[in-house]
Amino acid sequence: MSINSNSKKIPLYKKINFPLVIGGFIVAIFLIMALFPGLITRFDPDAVDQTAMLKSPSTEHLFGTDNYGRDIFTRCVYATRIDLLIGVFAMLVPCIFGTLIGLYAGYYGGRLDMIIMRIFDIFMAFPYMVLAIAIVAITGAGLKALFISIWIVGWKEYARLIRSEVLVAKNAEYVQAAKVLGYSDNRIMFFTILPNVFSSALVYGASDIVMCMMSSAALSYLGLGVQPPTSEWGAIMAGGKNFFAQASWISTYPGLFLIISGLGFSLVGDGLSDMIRTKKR
Amino acid sequence: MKKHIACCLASIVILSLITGCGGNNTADPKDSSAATEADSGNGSAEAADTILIGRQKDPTDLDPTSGNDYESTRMYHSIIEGLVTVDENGELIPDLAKEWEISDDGLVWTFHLIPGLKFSDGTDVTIDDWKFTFDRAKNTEESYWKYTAENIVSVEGDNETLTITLENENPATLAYLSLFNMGVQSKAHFEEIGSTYDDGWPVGCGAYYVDEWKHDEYVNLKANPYYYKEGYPKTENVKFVTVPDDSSRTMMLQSGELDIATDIPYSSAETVDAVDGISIVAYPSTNCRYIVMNGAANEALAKTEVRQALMLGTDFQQIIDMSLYGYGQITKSYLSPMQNSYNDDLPDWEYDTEKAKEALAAAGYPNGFDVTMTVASGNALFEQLGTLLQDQWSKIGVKVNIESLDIAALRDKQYNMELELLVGSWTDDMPDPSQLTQYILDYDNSYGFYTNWKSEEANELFAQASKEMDDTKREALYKEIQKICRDEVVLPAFFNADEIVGQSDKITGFSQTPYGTYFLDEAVKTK
Amino acid sequence: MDVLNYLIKRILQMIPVFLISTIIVFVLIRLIPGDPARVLLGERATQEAIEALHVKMGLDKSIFEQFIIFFRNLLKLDFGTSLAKKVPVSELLKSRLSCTALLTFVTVMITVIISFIFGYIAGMKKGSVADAIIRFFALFGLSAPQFWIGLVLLDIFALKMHLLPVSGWGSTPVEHLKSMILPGITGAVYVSGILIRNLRSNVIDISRADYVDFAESKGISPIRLSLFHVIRNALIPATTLLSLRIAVMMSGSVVLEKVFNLPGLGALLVDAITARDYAVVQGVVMMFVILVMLINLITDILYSILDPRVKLQ
Repeated sequence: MSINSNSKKIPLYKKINFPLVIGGFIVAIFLIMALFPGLITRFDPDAVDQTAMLKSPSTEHLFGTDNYGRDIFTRCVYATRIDLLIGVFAMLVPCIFGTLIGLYAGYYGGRLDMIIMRIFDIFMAFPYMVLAIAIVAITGAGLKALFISIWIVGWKEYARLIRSEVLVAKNAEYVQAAKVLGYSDNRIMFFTILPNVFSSALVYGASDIVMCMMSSAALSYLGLGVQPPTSEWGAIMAGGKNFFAQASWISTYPGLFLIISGLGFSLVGDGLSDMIRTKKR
Repeated sequence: MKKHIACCLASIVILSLITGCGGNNTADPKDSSAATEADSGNGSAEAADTILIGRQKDPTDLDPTSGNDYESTRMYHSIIEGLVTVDENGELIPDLAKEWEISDDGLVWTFHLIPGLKFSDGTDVTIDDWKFTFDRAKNTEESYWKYTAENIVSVEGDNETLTITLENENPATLAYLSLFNMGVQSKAHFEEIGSTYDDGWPVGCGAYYVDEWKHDEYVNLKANPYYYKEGYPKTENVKFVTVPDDSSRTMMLQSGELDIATDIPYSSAETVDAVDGISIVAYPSTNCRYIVMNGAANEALAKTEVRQALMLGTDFQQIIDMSLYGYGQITKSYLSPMQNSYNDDLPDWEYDTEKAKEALAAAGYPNGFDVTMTVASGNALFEQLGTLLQDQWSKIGVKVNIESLDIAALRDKQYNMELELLVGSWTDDMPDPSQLTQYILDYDNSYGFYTNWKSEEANELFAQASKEMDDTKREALYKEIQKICRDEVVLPAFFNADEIVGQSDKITGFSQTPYGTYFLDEAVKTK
Repeated sequence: MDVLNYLIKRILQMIPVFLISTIIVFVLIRLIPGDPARVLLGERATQEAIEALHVKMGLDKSIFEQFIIFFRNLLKLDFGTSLAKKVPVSELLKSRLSCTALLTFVTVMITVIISFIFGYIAGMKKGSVADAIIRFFALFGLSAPQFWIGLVLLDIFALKMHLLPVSGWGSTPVEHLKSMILPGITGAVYVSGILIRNLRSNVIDISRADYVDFAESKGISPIRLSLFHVIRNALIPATTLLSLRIAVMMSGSVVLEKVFNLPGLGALLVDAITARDYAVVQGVVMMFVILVMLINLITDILYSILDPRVKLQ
């Protein structure tokens, strides 16, 4: 091994998985905001202050105030908690549930698979909004309704994803070997196949977190989201829509929080998928 | 593949050309309903002859007997007129009847009509039409306004004179006669359509007639060529456009796609007013929003002492400042100050959080209590009222949880008296305190306006007032009723709001009454 | 003959899905608390008025009876009448569908143009600054809420620059198109985000794949190679994604329609649910179900055309 300038030494900056690092960094910042909001800002997110209505961004109020005199930056920081919660928790249940269904459907195939695919079709065709509004009408607007509606429709992507991966993995050598060794179906599914395919679910999950946060924002825009005075990025933005002409900061800045946090999670997802792709090669 | 990309690029170019060309045109969608008329040549000449009014909702029912939602009731006067009406200050004035006499026993009213009245379709207004109208007003089972006609025994006369015989003397008679269900409608037209107007409309003698109603999009009114007032209405077409989204409506006004926009959010008033060529006009109104406290669903709210304590902890002025931006005033009773017999002698509302906490403790709630406030989802004003109340009452130890339901679910719960705290709305339709008072006291129908409140005393006073022909005495009776409601804290109002309308400066002559009725006949749009 | 058999098979499979969806929606909306008569007639309506309306609406019968009547009408292709708007549901569906369809079409057009151009560039120039910038904007598009983008675009292009209409969709075809531009761009942002990333990774994968090397070794010029082969093969997964998105777009354009005040199917659906306008909700959902299934069918057929390795089964 001669040491010369032609040897294929990979420079450090190419080895680092940039998306993962940057994304992880962003997510970490938001986590801190969610856990320790008081450290970052000193205002009360809910207190009505008649003297400070609709102030534009300044050194005292970084993002300005809303029509109740509440500091928008503070509300955004406190909202991080709720939004991250919504994002992660709303993603988790469909992820697990959908993965399980995909696993069984892909592995056993046949009748089970066909029935699940038909159910899948029905869910796909059913407009999400109908469900969301129906659930809100039954349970009342708020986090509960949000979670339920996302859970009911969110599982299908995972199921489809895992199913197609399992269909391929089923025929791989290591699975055949396991079968020959007499391992039980469950053991094969959960201990052999699942670890290999779950990474796809995780990658999708990262962008799903973003989608859940956006669903929440959209529902809040339609008036069906979290209840006042709860700070949630989408709700803050919806509250600012009547003031858009005179106080656009109410709707713009929370949007930035949403976008940046979304970027963070998407980058993490990207980084994970890059990592997996290089592994597979 | 290159070809494909080239095609796509070409379409982008074409699209932008269209955009570029159409750039000057955005402020001119005036005659978009050209499909209804074949006068294609008249397009640009009609442009200044149409006034576009943007509203939040479509009218539900153009039948004056059954319609009772605000968007519908405000329009009736433009197409139907009756014996008397109300002017922009809310005072009763003669309309189709020039003058009238009342018999000594107060039971026979003789009205002298303006001669030669015709409906908008050119047919003469006859006594049969009047009979038909009153009969319909009185006998339609489903009509919310039925009670206003029940006192009428008979209607006789000829085309110039109308004699109405009442069963009992009723001080509210003229006020009732000013209501839209008493406005004369064409019997022939009704019979032509069927047994109800269904989704059609009546034919009357108002300044306009309904030319087209495209549900959820617009109602197009055209000038009545047979209108009895010579030279009126001044504008040929008035089109009520339905634009549910507040920001869209405001933006359309600002860009010139609408000439008038109602239901402007109070928060946008300042910005809209600042736009060149547009002004915000505030019209006094009987419009009130109430703090409805239902004792049946929350036991703390059932106690008068608790309600009094809550009022001590409510800063009404802050609510008006922050939600109405100054376009409204405090009202001391359930009636708005715009209504007859408003009791101005009632004390002002006091705001003292210390006293409030003491009062709560004395009432048995030293640590406050929890209450759930239900608002209709999507209603920004109601949500705002909820948030303000939540903040204010938190200072006296009362925790308000806001629950937002969609309107249908909310109404259901409301009728089942399951809601603890909600925002109640009311706008009077006639210049008489009896309308609202009767609604509150009619426990079987409104459960005390959903507060679960009843009062023998108030009912008796109301019964007396319904027969009292002397104005002064009647006023005193109503003031007494208001005092009772005030003492027992029934229906305290968040405020009595002005109605703000965004108007293009090119519009003159438009106005509305405190009951919401539009006056369109003098409205003119200069080019 | 194969294709015909396949088509018949698929259509037959669609029927049970359609039926089940219809039943689900029929029952679901009736389960939601709230009385359509109350909503329509307003707060002050008398009990008599409400009951009279119930009879007129057929709501005084049991759910089962109502369903039988509904189904019988369905077979006659009568979708009922809207309670709130008093016009036949089929009429509403027709007019709203054209709006939503146009919006979807414009959105797809813009998406395809943006995505294919930028996805290709990013993929071919992987690792470069251009690639990074494009990827960043794609991510941005994925993370920004539609109504926010819509409001910002409206503010700039409609309010301040008066280039495009503020709301509504006008009444002439030219006005229709003009009013679709801003919402089309807004809707395209999100989907482009997904598609660009997808196309990029496809372009990368394919440009390294065996058959590309094979073609190169046969002496096919690199330019012809990149444009034709690579893009054509990237079309397949792109098509799947796009078709999925189209389905979502048609039913999920509510927010866009509300922001831009467009009379589309999404807004109709939401309004109908709020008003408990059962016939309309049923009609719209049934339409969506059929549309989605049709789009899936077309996608699968397209798939088989584009990729000779795929066989219809």
